[in-house]
Amino acid sequence: MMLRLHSNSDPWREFRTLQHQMDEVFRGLLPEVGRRVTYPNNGPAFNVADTGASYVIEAELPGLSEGDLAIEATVNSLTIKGARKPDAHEGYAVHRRERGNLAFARSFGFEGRLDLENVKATLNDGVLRLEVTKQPEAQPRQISIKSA
Amino acid sequence: MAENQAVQAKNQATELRELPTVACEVDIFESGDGYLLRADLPGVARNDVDIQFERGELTLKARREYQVTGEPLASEFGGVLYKRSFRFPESVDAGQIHAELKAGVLTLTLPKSPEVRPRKIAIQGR
Repeated sequence: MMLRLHSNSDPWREFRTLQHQMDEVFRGLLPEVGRRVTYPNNGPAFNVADTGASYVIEAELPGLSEGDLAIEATVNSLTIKGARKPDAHEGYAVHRRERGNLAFARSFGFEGRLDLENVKATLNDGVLRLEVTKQPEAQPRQISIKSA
Repeated sequence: MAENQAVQAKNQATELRELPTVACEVDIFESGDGYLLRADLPGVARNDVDIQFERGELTLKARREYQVTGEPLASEFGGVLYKRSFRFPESVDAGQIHAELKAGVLTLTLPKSPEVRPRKIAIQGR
């Protein structure tokens, strides 16, 4: 890329443009909001959604119980760790073993600040669902237009 | 009315076709008494599992609907139609197959018929 320093009256303009372009490059390397931050090897599938007032995180975790999971939250991130205890089968011959041990850790970063007092977590039929309310200032607001 | 039902049936058929068919992950074990099968079916309700056993062939079908709430930021799973089939030796006692669905894991026990189970033969001493 060439810098055209002579082009405008503001000599810093080109530098700002360059800085902006560099920022764009680095932004591309950093994880996006709500996307994978850590890449486990073929861990469980996760869905993340923004409902406006809250974030909803869901994960397929068949065979896990509450005790197998650890969930940590900060104001702008959430980490879910878990492991499935292997089934003990004494005296059984193995024909097929596809299910594995399912040990994982996933972290999600969020744009809006999280209200850590308002986290709901449920585990039903092997699906974990977390609903984290955003702090009031991060929630979208409806602005009504008044006619004169 | 009949037309309405036809439309409804058509919609259901479309819905069925739209769900991607996926092979669920399965473990199969065998002991002297029978077979044990475990399948991961996260989010599947008991009524949405269909298990058929015919002439040594076990067919497993399960269905899960999924509705996104809000704007998706990451989407790694959705509605699915799980399908798998396995052949078992004729020795399975079809009438005694037992199925249980717990925490998204289906456990099937398929006992062998009594005549094929291994028997301990005691040697008679004098």
